[in-house]
Amino acid sequence: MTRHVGHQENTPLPQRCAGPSFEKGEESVAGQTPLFEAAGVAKSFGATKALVDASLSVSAGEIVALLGENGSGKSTLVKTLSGVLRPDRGTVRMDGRPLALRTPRAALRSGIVTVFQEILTAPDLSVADNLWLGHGSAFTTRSEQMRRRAEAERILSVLAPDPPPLEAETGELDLMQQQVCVIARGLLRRPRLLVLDEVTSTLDVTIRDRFFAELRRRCAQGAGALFISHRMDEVLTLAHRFVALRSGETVGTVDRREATAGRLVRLISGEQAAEQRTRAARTRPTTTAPVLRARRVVVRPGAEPVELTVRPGEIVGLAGLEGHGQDEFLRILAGLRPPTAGEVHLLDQDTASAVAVRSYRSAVRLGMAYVPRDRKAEGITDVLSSLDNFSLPTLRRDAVGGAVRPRRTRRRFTTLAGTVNLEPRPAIPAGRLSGGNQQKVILARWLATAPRVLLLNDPTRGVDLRTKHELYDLFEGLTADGTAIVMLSTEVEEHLHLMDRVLVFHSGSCVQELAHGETDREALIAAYFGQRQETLVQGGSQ
Amino acid sequence: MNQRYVHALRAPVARLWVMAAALVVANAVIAPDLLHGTRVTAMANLLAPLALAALAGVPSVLSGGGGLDLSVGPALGFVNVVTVAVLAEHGILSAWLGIPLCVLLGALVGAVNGLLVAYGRLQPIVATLGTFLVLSGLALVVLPQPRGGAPRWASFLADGSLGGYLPHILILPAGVLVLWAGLRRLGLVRLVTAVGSDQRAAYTSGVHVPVVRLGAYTLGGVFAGLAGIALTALTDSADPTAGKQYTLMAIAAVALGGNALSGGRGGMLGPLLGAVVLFLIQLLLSSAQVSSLWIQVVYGVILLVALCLNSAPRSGRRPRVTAAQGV
Repeated sequence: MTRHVGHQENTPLPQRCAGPSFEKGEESVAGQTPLFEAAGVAKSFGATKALVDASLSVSAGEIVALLGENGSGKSTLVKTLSGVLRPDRGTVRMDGRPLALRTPRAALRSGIVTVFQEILTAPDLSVADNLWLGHGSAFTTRSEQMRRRAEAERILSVLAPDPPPLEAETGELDLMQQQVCVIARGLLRRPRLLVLDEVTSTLDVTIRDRFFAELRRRCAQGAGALFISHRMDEVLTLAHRFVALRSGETVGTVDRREATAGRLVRLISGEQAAEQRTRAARTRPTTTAPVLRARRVVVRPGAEPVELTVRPGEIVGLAGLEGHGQDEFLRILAGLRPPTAGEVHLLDQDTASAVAVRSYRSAVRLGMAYVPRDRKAEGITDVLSSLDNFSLPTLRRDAVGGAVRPRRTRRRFTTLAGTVNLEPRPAIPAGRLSGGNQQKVILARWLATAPRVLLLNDPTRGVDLRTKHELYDLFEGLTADGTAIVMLSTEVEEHLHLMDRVLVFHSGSCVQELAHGETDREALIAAYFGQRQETLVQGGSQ
Repeated sequence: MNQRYVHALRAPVARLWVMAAALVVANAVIAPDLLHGTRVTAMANLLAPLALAALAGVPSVLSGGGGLDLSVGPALGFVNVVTVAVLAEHGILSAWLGIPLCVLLGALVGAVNGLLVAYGRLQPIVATLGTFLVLSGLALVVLPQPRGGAPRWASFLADGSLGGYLPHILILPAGVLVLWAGLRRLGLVRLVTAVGSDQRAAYTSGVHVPVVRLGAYTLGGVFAGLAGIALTALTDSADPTAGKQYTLMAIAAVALGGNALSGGRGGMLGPLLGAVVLFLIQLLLSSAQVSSLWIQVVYGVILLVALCLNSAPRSGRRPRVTAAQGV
C-alpha cells in the first residue's frame, strides 16, 4: 500500500495554485505531481457564496477526507469536481494537466468518478443496466455485454455478501441495496479519483467494511479517493489526510499521524470569535406547565426514542448534520409526518388536558404553527401577492356572513407586518421579495393564528445578516410573550446564542441535549459527528 | 383461480390480450363475416395508421420529462399529403424512393420536436402543440382539397395479402417492432428508459440527456412517417385534415398500453395492443349499429373503463427515498 503521508506535515495551510513548487516536501519523489489537484475553486449562487477558495490535492494511493460542517461548501465542491456545477473561478488538474469539467460526462472521461449523497438510480432499469448506465458507447456487442454482466456480478459480490440479482428492477430494491448499486457503478468505471459524498449512510457494517477494503485495494493500485462522511470513526480509520472546509474556504490540512477527533473538530469548527449576542438578561422559564410534549417519539426504524417537553417562553434548538433526523422530528411535531413510534401532545394550561397531534390540520387547530424550510416549495406562492400569501390560513376571520372583507385583511396584515418589521406592501407578488422578506411574510401569516407553539425549520436560511438579527429579536419577543419555539437550525451560532436548549441528532436519535451555557462550539460539533464529550453534563429536562 | 394466473393477469399487456380476444369474439358474434379474408385485409388497413400512430407516440413518452408528442396525427397527415401532392406530382412514384422520403420527412418533424424539447427546453406538450398547428396548417397550404392520385405502391400495400390472411400492410408495424427490438439490443432503448426513469441519475452517470431525448423524438417521427404511409395506403388518396384525429387516439392507446405517461416505463407491445383494443371497440360499436349520435359517448365510456381496468396499481413498488431523507 503506497500511502503518501509525510510530505504534507509541515504545511497546515493549502497551497494555492501550486505549480511544481507544490511538492517541495522533503520526502517527495523528485518531479512528482499529485494525481489530482483543485486550487482556488469558487462558486456563488446569486449573493450566496458557497465556495470562496477551496483547494485540495490527492496523490495516487491516497484517501483524503474532506471535512466541514453544514454549509461549509462540501457538497458544492463535490458537484464542481463531478461536472454538475461549473465553478466561477479556480483550476482543476489531473496529473498536472488542467481539466475543463463541463459536464458529468467530461468529468467521468477524465477519470473523476463521483458517488453522490443522493442515491441516484434509474428505478425502472435492471441492476445490471444501472451499473453500466452512461458508460462508453450505447452500441454494445454481445460479447461486450457478457463481459459487462460478469464484471457487474463480480463487483457486486465483492461489496455485498448477498448481492442483488442483476435482473432485479432497481426501484424494487431496498435503500441499502440501491446504495450498493451506486457504489458499484462508481467502482466499475475504474476511477482514477473516486469522490465519495456520504455514501455509507445506509450501509450496514459488513458491507461498509467490504467497501472500505475494496476502496483501500483500489487506492493501493494507484487510484485516489476523496471521502466525505459524517462519521468521525470512519474518517479516522480510512483517511490518510484530512482537509477541512469552513465557509467555502480550505482552512487546514492534517496528516493522519497528527489527527485526533478533537483536533479535527477544532479544525472544522474554527476558533473564530463568535459574534457577541449575550442573552443572559432573558429569564429562562422552568416552572410553568409544559405546552408541548413528545413522548418516546421514534424518528425512524432503529433509532432511539426522543423525549421532549417544551414550556411556554422556551426556545429549543434542533441540531445535527443534514439528514440525521432533526428535520423528521420537527415534521413529526408538526403532524406532517407520522412517527415510527410514540406520540406528540399539546397541553392546555388551564384544563391541564393533553391532546394528541394526529395530523397537520389538527396541529394547526390546536395552536401550532410550522414555518417550512423550503420557502419556494412549501411556504410561499410566488405569483400571489404578499397580502394573499399572508392571509391564506386565516382568511375566514375576515369573512362576514361568508363574504371576505378585504379591508380587514389589509388591516391585520399592516399590524403583523409591524410585528415582524416588514414594510407592508400588500400588492407586490411574493416571488419578487427578498428571501428575508418572504420569510417575514410567512412568519406574519402564522403569527396571525396566534400560535402557542411555533415550529421553525431553519428560518434564517438564505436570509441576510441584518434580517437575521431582526428575526432573533422577534423570536425573543415572542417567547417573552409566552410562545414556545422549537427551531431547527443549521447554524451553530444560533444554537450557541439563541437557544435555551439544543437537541443534537445523529442517525435519527437525539445523542445529546445541551443546555444554554453548557453549549460550546466544540461540544456541539463533536455531537454532530456522534462524538459525545463526556466532560459535559447532559442537561435539560425529561 | 390459480394464484399464478391471477398474478399474470395483473400485467397490463396480459389484460390487453384478454380484452382484445373478448372484443374479437364479440365482433365475430355480431358480424360473423369478420373473419373472411378480404375483410381481414380491410380491417388491417383501417387499423394500421392508428397502430403506427400509437407506436410513434411511445418513444417521446418513454423519454420522460413530461414527454408527449401531440404532433403525431398532423405529422402522419402531412406525410400523406406530401406523398400525393408533392412526390407523386413531381413524378416520384417509385416505392424505393417514395417510402424512404416519407420516413425522412417524419424523422425531420420528430427532430424539430426533439430540438424544441431537448435544447429549447420547451414543455413537450406545448412544443408539440405548436408543431401540431404548424403541420395542420402546412397540410392545407400544400393541398387545400382532398384528392386522389396516390402512387401505385400504396395500393400494393393496401390490396395484397400473403396467402389471403397476411395483409401486406402488416409489413409496416412489423418493421417498427423489428427496428425497436434492434435498438433495444443495441442498448439505445435502455438509454431512453434511463433518461425517462430518472434523468438526474442518467445525467450524473454520464448520459448525454439532450441527445437521447432528441433521438427519442426523432424515432417517434420515423414511426409517424410510416403511419403516414399506412394512411396513404388506406385512403389511396390525400386528405389534409385526415391526420389530426390520430393524435388523441395514439395517446389513448399508449396510456391503455400500460406505459407510464411520466416516462421510463413501458414498451411497444402494450400500446400496439391498446390500439387494437381501441379499434375493436370502434368496430364493435359501428357493427352493433349504435346510433351515430351516441357512438362517441359510448366509445368514451368504454375507453375510460378500459383505462381504469388497466391502471390497477403495481404491487410491491417501494416509494423512492434518498438517504438524506432517511427511511
